[in-house]
This record gives sequence, C-alpha cells and structure tokens, in this order.
Amino acid sequence: QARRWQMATAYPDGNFHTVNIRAFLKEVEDGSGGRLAITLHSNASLLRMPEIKRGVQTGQVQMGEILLSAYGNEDPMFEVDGIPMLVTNFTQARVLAGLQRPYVQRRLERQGLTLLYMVPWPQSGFYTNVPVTSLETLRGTRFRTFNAATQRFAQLVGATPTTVQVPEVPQAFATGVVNAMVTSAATGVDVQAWDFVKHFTPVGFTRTKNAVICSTRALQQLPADLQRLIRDAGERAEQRGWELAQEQERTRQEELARRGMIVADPPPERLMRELAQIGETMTNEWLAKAGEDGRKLIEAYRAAIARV
Amino acid sequence: MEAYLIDGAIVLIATLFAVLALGVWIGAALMLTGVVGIVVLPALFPQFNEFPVEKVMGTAVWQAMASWTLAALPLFIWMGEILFRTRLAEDMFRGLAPWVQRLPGRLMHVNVFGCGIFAAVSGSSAATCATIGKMSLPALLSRGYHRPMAIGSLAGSGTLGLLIPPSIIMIVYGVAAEVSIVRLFIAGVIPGLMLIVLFSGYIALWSLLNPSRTPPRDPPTTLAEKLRASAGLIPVLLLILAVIGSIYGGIATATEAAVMGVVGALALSAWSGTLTRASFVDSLMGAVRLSCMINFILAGAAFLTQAMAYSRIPAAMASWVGAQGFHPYVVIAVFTALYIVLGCFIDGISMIVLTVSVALPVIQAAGFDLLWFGIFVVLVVEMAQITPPVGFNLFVLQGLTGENIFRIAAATAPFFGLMCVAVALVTVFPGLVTWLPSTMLGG
Amino acid sequence: MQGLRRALDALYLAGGVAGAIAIVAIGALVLVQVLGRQAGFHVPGADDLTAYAVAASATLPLAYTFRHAAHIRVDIVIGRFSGRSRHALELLVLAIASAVALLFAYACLDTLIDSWTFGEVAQGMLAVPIWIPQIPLVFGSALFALALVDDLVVAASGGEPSYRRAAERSAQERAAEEV
Ligand code: NA
Ligand code: NA
Repeated sequence: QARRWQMATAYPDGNFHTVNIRAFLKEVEDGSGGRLAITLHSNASLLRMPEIKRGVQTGQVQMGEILLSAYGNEDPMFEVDGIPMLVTNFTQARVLAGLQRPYVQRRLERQGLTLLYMVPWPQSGFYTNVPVTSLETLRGTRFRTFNAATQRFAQLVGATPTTVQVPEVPQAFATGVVNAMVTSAATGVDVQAWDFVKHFTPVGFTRTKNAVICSTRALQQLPADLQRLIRDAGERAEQRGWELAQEQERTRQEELARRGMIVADPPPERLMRELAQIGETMTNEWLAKAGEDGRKLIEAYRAAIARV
Repeated sequence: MEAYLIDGAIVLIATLFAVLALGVWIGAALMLTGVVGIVVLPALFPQFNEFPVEKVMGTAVWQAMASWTLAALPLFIWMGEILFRTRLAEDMFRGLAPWVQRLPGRLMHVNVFGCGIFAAVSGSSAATCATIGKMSLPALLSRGYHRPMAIGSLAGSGTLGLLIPPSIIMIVYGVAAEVSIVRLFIAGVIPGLMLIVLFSGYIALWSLLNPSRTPPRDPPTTLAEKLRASAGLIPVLLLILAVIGSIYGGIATATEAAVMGVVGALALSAWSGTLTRASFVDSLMGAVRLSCMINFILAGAAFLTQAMAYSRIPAAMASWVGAQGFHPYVVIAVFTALYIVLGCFIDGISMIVLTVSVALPVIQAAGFDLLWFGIFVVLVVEMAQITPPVGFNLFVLQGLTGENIFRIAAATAPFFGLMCVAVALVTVFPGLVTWLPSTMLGG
Repeated sequence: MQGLRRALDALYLAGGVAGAIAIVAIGALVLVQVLGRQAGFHVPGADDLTAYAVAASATLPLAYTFRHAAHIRVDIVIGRFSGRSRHALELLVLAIASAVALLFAYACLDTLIDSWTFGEVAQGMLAVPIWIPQIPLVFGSALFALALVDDLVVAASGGEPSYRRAAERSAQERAAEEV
C-alpha cells in the first residue's frame, strides 16, 4: 500500500519556491512508482510559518519548508545569510550556502531533521517614495522591520524601526504608517507594490534561503531506494531553485518597472559604499555572538570569495 | 469525488450536528468533531492518515490564539462595553429619532448604517456585530421595535465589517491569491454600499408591509428641539472620526485603530461622568467573557480546520467543480452553493485557505478575474457568518441576547437572501467590483 | 466542603481577573507602539508580546466565562426537557465536555513540553523560549477542565450546575435592561 506523506509550506502557490516544491514532489511521486504520495499544504493552510519546524519534529507533517534565517534566535549559524551586504551577488551567495550547509545540517540533525535542499530568495532592495541617493535618504523614515537584523539596520541608519506585519504592509504604506521597507522584487510583485510606492532600489542586501526539511525518522522508515530518490530529487530541486531565483531576480524587477515603478539599477555608488560599511559593522556584531563556528565560517567565506 | 471522502464528510457533519444538538458548548463540540476527523476517520477508512491528535490540537490552538491580528477583537469588544455603560448610545438614539420619523423602519436603520460606519474601522464581522449590537439592541428593544427584525438586521449588517475596508478576510485572500490588497479594499466599497442599500431597502419595505410591528411615532417636535436632541450625536461622531482618522491619517494600522477606539471610549465616558471604578471593572469583565467565548469557538474551529485540511475534503470538493466543465455562470453558482455548505461548518478564513489552491485555477480557467473572485469570496464568507450551526455573528448575538442560534438564524434569513441577490448582481455586472479600483489606480 | 468550594471559586475568578489584565496589556502594548512611532521610538518585540497577551486573554478566563454561562451552546433540544430527564441530559453533556476539556488541557501541556524539549525560541526580536508564553494556555485549559469536572461532580450528586444558575441570573438582568 502507498505511504502518504504530508508537507507544509507557508507560501502561496504562485511563489517560485512553491512552484519548485511541486515539481520536486511530482518527481518523487512519479519516481516511486506509486509507493509514496506527498500532499502539499501551501498557503499556511495547515501550519503557520513558525510552527512548521516543530510540526515536522512532532510528526504532524513529514516534510516542511522553513525560512532558515528566522531561526537565528535558536542558533546564529542559521541566520548568517540574513546579515546585510555580506553577499552581493549569486556567486557569493552560493559560496556562503556551501560553507553554511554542514553547520545547518549538523544542527538540524540534532533535532531529528534532515536537510533536503536550500534555495535562496532573490536580492532585496529599498521601497521608498523618493529616490534613495544615499543612506541619508533613509534617516528619519519609518522603516519597516521584521527581524533583529532589519531592526538593527534601521537603528544604524537613523530610521524609526516600525513593526508592520506582512498583510498590513500595503495599507500601512498607503496611509504613511511606514514609508520605507526592504524586501525582494519578487515580494514587491506579490503585494503589487506599484499600487502604493514609487521607487525600488535593488542593493543586494540579503539573499536569505528557504530550506526544505523532513523528519529523519520518517525518512529512515522508507525503503533505501525511496530515500535515495528523495535525496536525489532534492539535489535537482536545489539546482532548479537557484536558477529560478536568478531568473526571478531579473523578471520580477522588470515587472516592477513595467508597472511604472522607477527602478534604480545600478544603485548609486555612494549608497553602496555606505551600505558596505554598515554590513561590516553588522558582520562584526554577528561574529561577536556566533562564537568559534561563526569565526571559522566567515574566515572561510572571505578566503573563498577573494579567490573568485 | 471518491466515495471515502463523501463518507468521511458525512461522518463529520453527523458528529457535529449530534454533539451540538445535544447541547455541548460550541467550542467543545468543534473540538470533538476534530478529534473524530483525526482519530475515528482513519480507523473507519484506511485512506485517511493517522496523526498524533494531542500535537495537532495543541499546535492548532496555539497558532490560532497567539495571533497579533486577533488583538483587535477584545479591544473593540471592550470599547462596546464601555460605550454601553455611558449614556452615549441612548443620547445618539434620541438625537437620531426626530429625523427618521417619516422614514419607514425608522431607528431600525441604525443597525445597518451603524454597522456600515463601524465597518470602516474594524476588519472583523464579529467585532462589528458585537460593538454595534451592544449599543443598539437594548435601545431598539426598549423602544418596542420588532425583536426578530432588530436581531436579524444586526446579524446581517455585522457582516459588512468584511466587505467594507479594512478587512481581515481580504488580506487573507490577497496574500493567498497574490491579488493587490489595496485594490481589494477599493473593490469592496461599491458592493458594500450596495448591500447597505439592499438591507435598508428591505427594512423600509418590511415596515411598510407590517405597520403594526413598528412602535408608534413620537409626538411631533419643533426644529429647535430636534437640533437640541441632535447635540447628543456629537460625541459619537467625534469618536468615529477619531478612529477612522487615525487609520487614514497614517497614525495607526487597521489593527491598532482598535486601541484608539478604547481610549476614545474611556475619554468620552470620563467626560460624560459615567466612568467609575465599578463601571470600568464591569466593562472590562464583560469584554473578558464575550471575547473569551468567541476565542474558545475560534480555537475549536482552528482545530477542526486542521482535521479538514488533513482529510482534503474541501479541496476535493473544489476540484470536483473544476472537473465538470461547467458554463462560467454555473461554475459561480456551484461555488456559491459549495461555499454556503462549507460555511455552515467552518469559519471564513479557513474556507479560503483550504480551497484557494484548487479553486483559483478553476476560476481562472472559467475566465473570471481574481480581483473579482476575491470580492465574491468575501460575499460568500459573509454569508457563512450567519448560517447555522457555525456562524460567528449568530454566536455573538446569542451571547448578547440569550436567544438560541437557530432562532437568530431564522430572523437573519431575509438578509441571507439579500446577500444571495448581491452575489447574483456582482456576477452579472462585474463592473460593480472592478470599475472603482481600475478608475482609481489604473490598469 | 465549604472551604473547598470557596477556594475553587476564587481560582476561577483569578483566571478571569488574569484575562482582564491580559486585555489591558494588549491595549497598553498597542498604544505604546502607536505613540512610540509618533515620538520616534520603538519597543522591540511589542507585536510578539501582544500576540502572547491575546493567547493569555483567550485561555485564562475559560473557566470564569464558563461559570458565568457566557460560553454558548445550542439549547434547542435540551431546552425542551425538564426534571429528571433534563438532569440526565446535562450530566451527559457535562461528561462529554469534561472529556474534551481534559484532552484540550493535556494537548496544551504536551505542546509546552515539546517547546521545552525542542528548545524552541521565538523568531521575533525577543528571543524568549516559546514555552514561557505557553504557560497561560496550560493554566487556562487546566482550569477550564477543572471547572467542568467540578460541575460534573455537583450535577452527579444531585446539585444544580453553576452555569444554569448563572444563566437564570443573566436572563433576569437582560429582561431588566430592556425595560
Ligand atoms: Na471593515
Ligand atoms: Na456558518
């Protein structure tokens, strides 16, 4: 009889991560010859984002997708890709992902979880109603923050950190509760940012990653060939995901411009210089709490990107 | 649809009806039905999977209750409780009364317009119903207005909280369907006003046909007396303006506006001299009981929703509609019927997240605009708020009046019918939905 | 017995008062956020604290709300019975609801224990261990189960359950309100 797994993700069906997951699941189902079926619960219809990891741990679902950097409070090694300006292009992001993987794997293993694959989000940029020529533009704005890193960033540039939950962003912008935020072009298209904001300045900022995980126990209960199949399909999903992310970075930004937003690409040099400084500060702050593992990771990363 | 899904659905519905009819408290009845879905269904039909019931229940309740969006509900309820203990509501009714003497239905329209105005502040249907109901029901009933009509018009109009922006349900749909929330908000305005007109028109018509059920007119008054009585409207108007202003002036988000309402209500209560230690404690404990009652049902509904999500019954129903190859209008008619049936048992937000994955492709294939479908969904979710046995506006009114929900539902039935009319109107004239957003924002 | 009765009633009331404090806390937290934004300061994690206060306000007063007959039910069938048959029905309903409430309390406790063993930490700006804001859930649901079992015992020994006495009182109050 066919085994049936459940998988939870918080993202909607149109999101490229979800599209990639569906392709991954189809590959597994087809390859299993009817021995394994996986039901995807998208849209947070089963579990909200913060409950997905524990959902896998407790057996409510066998597989799930998480935003890795959201677990920075649990362990700083999860959130290294959330440090602003540490990576500034996809090549660097790949290098960092490769170096971060063993640390992530080990920590997830301790929690009974198996890392199947990681896929990045496209670069982020500033959404504002005036052109961002330097960090001076952001000073004094009501800057939307959603985690410790963006909160610290807002403090460092002298903006007022403002917590607005995702669903209220459009209205908060339209009424002036916030007047600056940083997120990807993909998210900008998702919320149709052109309805409430004028300028998009893609600066890189972060390329955080989503991770697809499964319960180690559930995985080991499968026949060896099915385990192999899932891992192989995961590897292919990772390849596909990185390509999708790169393609999204381009097409979504084009979409913003096509809808009438002013996209400052490339961004002003002065802005990038100032951002690099802030990135340096925040990397050092992260190192202070990430301990020995963190130091090793950053050293290896810097050595590696100096070579490419 | 496969047979085991239909059998499973029948078992769940039968359980819910049996436990509710027995008189088990609604939140507990929903939880028990969820337990049946997670434990008993897999035992009866091997196609359903088994899950650790205590883990699913704990996570479901925690993620439903530890919710920032829910913060507005207890605050708005508290605001209603404070205002109820002032003389403001009474003053407001006395101020309005002289002006509506010639309007058929007279003060009954306060329910419709009160909810319509409050809907511009609150994103929730239960909060709208509870806040306006707490103030208007005692005033209407003590004046001798027809009890079922007062209750029914309130339950119906409370649903305007969802259609007139801001709206929690539109945000949920907008995120799931990737439709602009700003556009959805604007698109809801004309259908919202249309519903107000339909509701008010019905009240007027009903009053003309049933003159004996409206209390006798007040003796005629002079203009000066009318104006003097109208001064009683000023404080409430100021409060409404302050709360709406805090949203549109960029001071507070829609959720935060609730606290402006509480502060304003406390200030008015202090100004009018009704704010005492006792009235403060009474209002607060009243809010504790009403919001706890609603939240317990929400918690039960959240757990039942998980059981439904695991069973895949709602998604299977939506995909069945897609597989039939119906004419577009038939698709909409069948979806309306499907959502009405689902809406009897699960709450509105769950209805959306459990079905959009399957419903949206069907709707797009039938040639409908996703923005338009968003407003359609909000309308049918509004209808779900007033269908028994699981209808949140019915629960709120049972909490306020002590009437049982089936009697409240019967009183609300005409308004349910008017909402069906509204669904038909927006289907035949989609411009009612799409014209305003495309005019204001282009595209 | 009198002492036990008074102690239990005090416990239920304490749950209600704690719920009231939670609602005031929700208001205060949201207000501080709104005012802070105008004044240019920010309370990190206020939105998470608000969410935890909502969970507390929803669960701590469950028993208090129950004792005040404010939890609603469909009395269309049970309302047609009176005397001994009514008493038997109430016993059945109380037994079912007690079982559900006990499972609910166990589920909340189990959730807290999981959060503890997994070392789960909140994802927002306050890195609080998640089991801490889950404490009110455990207390509130346990108190609710206790209140139901309490009334089950009272009804089984021939007494009148608390919610029926409260329902009669509030019906009288409502009638007075409307006149
Ligand atoms: Na509204
Ligand atoms: Na309903």
